[in-house]
Amino acid sequence: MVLQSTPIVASSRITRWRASPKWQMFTSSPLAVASAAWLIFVVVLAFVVAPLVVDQANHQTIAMRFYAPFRLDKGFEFFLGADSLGRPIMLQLIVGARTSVLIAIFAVSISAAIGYAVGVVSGYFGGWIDNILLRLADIIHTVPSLLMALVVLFILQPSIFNLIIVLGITRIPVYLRTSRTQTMEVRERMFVEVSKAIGASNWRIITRDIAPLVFPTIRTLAMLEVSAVILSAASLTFLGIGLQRPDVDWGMMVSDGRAYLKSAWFVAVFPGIVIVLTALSANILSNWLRAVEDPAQSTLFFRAKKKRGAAEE
Amino acid sequence: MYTYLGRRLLSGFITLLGVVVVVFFMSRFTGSPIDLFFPEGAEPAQIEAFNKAYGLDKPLAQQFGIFLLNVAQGDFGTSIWQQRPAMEAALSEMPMTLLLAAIAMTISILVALILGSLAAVYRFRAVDRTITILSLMTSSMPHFWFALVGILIFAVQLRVLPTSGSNSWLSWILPVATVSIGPIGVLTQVVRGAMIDVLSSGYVRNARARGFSARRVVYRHALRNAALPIISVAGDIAAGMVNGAVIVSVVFAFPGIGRLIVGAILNRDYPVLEASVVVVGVSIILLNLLIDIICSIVDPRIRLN
Amino acid sequence: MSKLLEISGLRISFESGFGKVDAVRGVNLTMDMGDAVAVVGASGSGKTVLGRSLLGLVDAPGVVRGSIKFGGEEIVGKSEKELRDIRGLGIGMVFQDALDGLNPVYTIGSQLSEIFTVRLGLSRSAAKSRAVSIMEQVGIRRASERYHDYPHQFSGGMRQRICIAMAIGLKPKILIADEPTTALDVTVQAGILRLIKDLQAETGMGLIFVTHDLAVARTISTRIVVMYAGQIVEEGPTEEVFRFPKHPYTKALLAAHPARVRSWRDLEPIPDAFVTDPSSGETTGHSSPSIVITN
Repeated sequence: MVLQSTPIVASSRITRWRASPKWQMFTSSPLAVASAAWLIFVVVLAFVVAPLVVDQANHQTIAMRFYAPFRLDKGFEFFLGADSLGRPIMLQLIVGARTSVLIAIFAVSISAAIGYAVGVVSGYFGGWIDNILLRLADIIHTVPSLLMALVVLFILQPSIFNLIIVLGITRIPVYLRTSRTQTMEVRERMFVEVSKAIGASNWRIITRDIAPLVFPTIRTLAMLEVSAVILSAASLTFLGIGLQRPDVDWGMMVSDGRAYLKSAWFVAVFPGIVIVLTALSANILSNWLRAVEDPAQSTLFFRAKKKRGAAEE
Repeated sequence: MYTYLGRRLLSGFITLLGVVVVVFFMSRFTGSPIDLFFPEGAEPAQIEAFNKAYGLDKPLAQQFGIFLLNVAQGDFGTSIWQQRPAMEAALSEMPMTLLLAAIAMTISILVALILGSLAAVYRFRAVDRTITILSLMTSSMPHFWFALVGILIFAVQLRVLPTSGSNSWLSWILPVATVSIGPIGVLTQVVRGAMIDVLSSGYVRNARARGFSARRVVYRHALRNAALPIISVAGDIAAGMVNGAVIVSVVFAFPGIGRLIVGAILNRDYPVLEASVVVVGVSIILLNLLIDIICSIVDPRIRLN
Repeated sequence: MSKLLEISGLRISFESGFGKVDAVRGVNLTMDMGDAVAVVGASGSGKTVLGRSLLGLVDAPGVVRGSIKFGGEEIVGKSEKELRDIRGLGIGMVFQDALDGLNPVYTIGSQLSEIFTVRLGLSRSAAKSRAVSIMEQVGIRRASERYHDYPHQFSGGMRQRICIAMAIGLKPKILIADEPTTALDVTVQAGILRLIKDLQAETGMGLIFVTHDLAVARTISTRIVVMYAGQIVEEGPTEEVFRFPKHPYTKALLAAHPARVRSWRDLEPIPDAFVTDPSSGETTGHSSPSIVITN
């Protein structure tokens, strides 16, 4: 039987991507699209808008103290009200977005990268290296992350950089465990034995055979972790640890507003809503990623019988 | 099985040792409490006396040696801030936190079992969607925000619950809710996933094929197998509850190890800090051990290996 | 007098948001006590779904249409509660995966006894002795000791024997075996097949044996039914169908069997024509008074 080659369609890469199942799945799910849109929005605010409004955001006007929200007469930036020092909340949220996004991206990258790499090495070689690394991970893991971060952040000066380091380190064990377990599983597979039989070096086996298989799990985990890190960072800054004005972040804003809950609820509630929305979007997207890999588990992205006129999510 | 437990215990002990060492070195680097107790330009003699009293004048290595010796006897020194044995301070606050965590854990597991099973049995229908969305939302909420909103709604607007303290049982409601809300979200999803897997397994299908009622199939055959992943996750959840307890002690002025630790940090009281971290560490290690035991009871495959 | 089992015009399809799949497209089959029918076909032919439908185990989004009469009573359309009366007592089923088929957290003894206490209302001790005797019947040695063991402590063949014990424990009139030996070693297979044959001889129950393995089908059955793409394309007495296959698919199936050729070059795979054009098949029957053919 002669193999027939498929005719090459003269389409651009984008058109082909548009037709791919993954994109279809994505666009057919309003929740996933909305979450991605929000996250992109936040990132844009953080990196594009924030630098432009920093000064205005930190500008204190006593006259504007606790200016109530939902009014436009004093200008667009006061639409969400003003805090105890008259600073516009909306702009503070934008500047805070930059802090939060930076922290989230870097902390997750650090812990994922280190946990992934160390986990693969530990899982592959086993023996005493494995024991020691696992022990270290256990030590970090035993003390609840908040506690650990509290204690550590008191040594170091409050700064975004230090916050990133602390959050990065405390979350390594999660990635390390997952990466290690998966590596140990992949290590037993036939094709690894084949590589060894051909005489591939350990380094090559690790980088070519094992690591790529472990990567998707780590990637999914990282997405989940983004939301966890955002929440952790907010908790720390809420407790007054890790950041100092003029660095501002959403958790700190909630803390500032705590004393005025009765009179000016919006000072604490708006930053909180933003935190929840962002963490929720990250959660939904990571859920979507998992649904793509295993449709049986997902609810939100799987339409039950079409003829029932299944409601849009 | 006892050798297995023995090994786990030893392993936990070594981990604990590691934690203690780390805490020691970290707290020594936090900065001396001198700055807090003595104003600028205080007499060097006074400072020296203070250092001597707390053993801070000796070289670090020696301090560490003395520290280890004392710890082996359970002596963490005297609290600089509160003028009483550090370990005593830590141990007096821990029970409250443990109680809070235990109540919250029980509630979380029960609620998660119910909601998760419902979501699994009525998979993809409205019930499932609602539950899943709700659990996603709760696991995206920071403790402190939930606490504040709770205060806003129930204490400020409706005036139903108190904002702080721990006298009446009413004042426990918000703290317990705050600590459980995150775990409920996570556990519900875990239960749901586990149930879905179990419900599509061969032995459940076999049970149906033998003509057992749906109730028997779910309760006797499905649930016990679905419980295993939950128990494994419980350890991590419990550690997370300590985090929640810390926030709760701050926001609700609720007694517990949380406020002790925050206070110790603010006052540079390292004996108390060390003692507290060790107490928390030991609790978690013991808890994980307990979980291992429970797992091996529930799953004969582990027990008989 | 009505037959033990009468299937007519059975259609099973799976309808979901992703589309509709017709798994079984018009099947007619009858059988009596003592019959041993092998249902042969490749994966996707619908044979497993057919077996499951007899116990009402085809769940949503599956839709079952047509008629299945067991002892004169119509099964299609019965409620879950009504179906429970048939399951186990009237019809028993053994599945392919024995390890997955046994609950890992309970001893096999308790799982066996459960059947007797719940469905027959026996006391614990009566159920236990019944369980032990049935374990012996299926060939488990030192049954009373092994009563307290867990599924993972048994070998594959033993586990399958236990599953068989569970299926026949309530003395059903028909036993459906869905590829019970597929996951087992060839040597163990023989033991299981012998067991099933012996049990059938002892109890006189009807046997429906679903398999893709022609050799197994030939050993175990007196009648054979060949399924392709949801339809029965040929049926008849086993030896006759093997020696004189009439339908092109059956012929191809037999020709593809490694045992019939001398060199691997002689093996002929099933041509694509069958895969892409199912409508070309017609049911071909061998004349035999016990078979009713209708389309």
